[in-house]
Amino acid sequence: MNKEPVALAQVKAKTIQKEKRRLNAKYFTPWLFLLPSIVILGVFLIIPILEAFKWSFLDYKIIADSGEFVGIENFKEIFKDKDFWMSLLNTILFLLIVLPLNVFLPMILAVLVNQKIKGVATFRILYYLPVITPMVVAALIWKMLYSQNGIISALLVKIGIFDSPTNLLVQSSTALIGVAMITVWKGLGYYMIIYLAGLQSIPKDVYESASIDGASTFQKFKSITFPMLAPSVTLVSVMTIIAGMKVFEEIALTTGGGPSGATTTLVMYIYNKFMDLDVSIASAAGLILLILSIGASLLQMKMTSKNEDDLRA
Amino acid sequence: MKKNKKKLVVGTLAAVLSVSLMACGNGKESSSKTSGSADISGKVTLWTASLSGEPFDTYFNKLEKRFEKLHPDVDVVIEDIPQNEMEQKVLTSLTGSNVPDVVNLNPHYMSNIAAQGGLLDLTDMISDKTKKSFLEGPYESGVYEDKLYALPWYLTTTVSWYNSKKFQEANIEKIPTSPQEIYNTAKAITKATGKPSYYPVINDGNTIMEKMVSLSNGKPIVKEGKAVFAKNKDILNYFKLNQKMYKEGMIPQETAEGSLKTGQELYMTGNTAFLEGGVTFLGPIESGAPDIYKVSKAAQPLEEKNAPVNVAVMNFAVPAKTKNKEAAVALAEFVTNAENQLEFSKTAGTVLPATKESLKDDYFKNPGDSPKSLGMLQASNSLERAQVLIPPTENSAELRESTKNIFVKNLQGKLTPEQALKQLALEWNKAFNKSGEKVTF
Repeated sequence: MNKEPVALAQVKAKTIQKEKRRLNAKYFTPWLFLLPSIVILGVFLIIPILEAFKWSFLDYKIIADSGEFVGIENFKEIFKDKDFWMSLLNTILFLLIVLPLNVFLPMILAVLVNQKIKGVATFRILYYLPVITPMVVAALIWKMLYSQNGIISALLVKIGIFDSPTNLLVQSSTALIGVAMITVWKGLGYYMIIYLAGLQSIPKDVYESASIDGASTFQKFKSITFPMLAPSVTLVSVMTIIAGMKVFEEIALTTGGGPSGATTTLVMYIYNKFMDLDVSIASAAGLILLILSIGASLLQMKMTSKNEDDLRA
Repeated sequence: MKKNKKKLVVGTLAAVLSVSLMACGNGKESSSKTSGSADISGKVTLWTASLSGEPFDTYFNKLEKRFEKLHPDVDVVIEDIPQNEMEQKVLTSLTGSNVPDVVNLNPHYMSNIAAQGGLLDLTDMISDKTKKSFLEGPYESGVYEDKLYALPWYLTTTVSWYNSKKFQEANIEKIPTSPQEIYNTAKAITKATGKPSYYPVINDGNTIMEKMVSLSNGKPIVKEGKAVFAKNKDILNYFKLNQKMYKEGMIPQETAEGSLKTGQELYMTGNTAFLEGGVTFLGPIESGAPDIYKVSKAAQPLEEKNAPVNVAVMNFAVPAKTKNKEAAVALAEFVTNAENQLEFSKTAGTVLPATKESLKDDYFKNPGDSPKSLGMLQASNSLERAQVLIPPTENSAELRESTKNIFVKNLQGKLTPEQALKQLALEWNKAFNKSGEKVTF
């Protein structure tokens, strides 16, 4: 008489235990996979951001590891500092130079290397070479090319842009353009690959239909290629904006922020303040840069979703 | 149940993060423990700046063994850090717990770190006898706010370097000793060679600041934390002539970058005929451009004979967080004593010792007849009038940065020399007001 309820209870208990284990696995497994990322991001990103946030409201002495609370004084000082405004302006100017070039030049290259002609793979490799060239090497080469007695200087005189040999990197009016060209050269191959992937996902029959309708190459590019590449354009634009905001290496290696601060961008400004042990100002400026970067990322998300909606429509 | 699981997950994460943070922490507890015993023992790490390879490896190996023989319980570890990474490495180590015990620093960075309490106050740890064994100027460069933070190790004084072949081409026989003579010489050489001829080294602005002090020849350019050079005729003339030389193509455009390294590159490629620099200047030229090296000659700095010239000091400081204070101080004293400084100067062949005793050695009167040795001779001759022209200050970085920026603007004609000096005085006053330092130099 008692056997049946006992067996039932045992089955029930087993089922509950099994369900419990399943739920546990369901709940814990994702966390287990996420744990390495959480730890790495926490230690190397979140905690430093929180520390920087704290330091930006202190008069912090990094070596003594102490500081008094000063409220928003560091931000006030930054906003009064003409070097900060100059670095912000330089960052914006840098973006304005780099953005259109980074969007269109790699696109043209991608269209060219997307042709089915002999030896095109060699060109793809050649265009990609700057991406894998270490920045130190690239900076040395470009410094030589830009020098007063270098090829670029001679070329600019020959085509009549300058009257006498001019080193673009040491003139305050041209230094930023000089550095921007290095950035564009370095990123050309990388963005070309993004466009190439975009191009190869465009269905061939669309081009065939256009050809039957008598469309010219330019018409095909204008009406098919360019609109279909819109998501890639958005991606390249946003990546350029974010990378441009953080530009540092090429500047540090070529001009060091000079001449007279003409190439000091926001990151360079933060780095200089940090190296001068002005950690609180560096942290406050870092927070401003973070806010600007988040703004750019939100813009990216908005633009990407808009593009996706447009394509779906 | 669900709440408990959440707690468990959050708890695990917190624990993992805490462990990670502890590993990255600044180790305050461990660093506060210092050797209390009188006998020195344990491990001491010494950092040198860009002195790896031969002949330095052999020198440091011997030095290490000699110190370990004197103090058998001490284990010395000497590590070399590239000069351009030194400040970053020192800063990183000082914010953590893995600090070197003795570190090679320049006086400006030393003062920055000392201002934040990062260095050990050596005032009462070093005997008066040792203190008096150093040359006064270099010794003072280790003093910040009346406290001794570093011991001078070696010196480099400024000398002038010139390409004698280019001087011959332009029929120049005398080394210029004033801005006007520099202008005349540069003009003649540029006319004869068709290339830029003079490179005023700017570095991070420090050499221009030193030049300003040399030019004012005894009159302070800063009094009690106030810039007083705006109407100094000699400095104004220097700014005017540099602008003129740049405009007329005698100064290469790359001067706007201003580092000694760029100066070396231009000198090697024949785009500069004369400049001022330390004795180490010819190092890369000897291997990179042997023909130019052979015709290179050294002379006194491009100043009047009685004008003070700068002496650059490399010193040894002991971080406050050292876990082995006594051994660290003993090692710093040992490395900087007269005997070891003399041997180091002979090993390097391009630097001068900072102790009075070692300078008496015959080596500094007859170092040899190679271009490098002649530079050494000029440097030891100029040591008589050499001083640390700019004292270490907390606002040093701001002073140097504004000097470089404004000098370059003046050079490129973006400011008139008068405007440049006025603006520079304003920037310096702003920096002194901010730091509250009342220095005179």
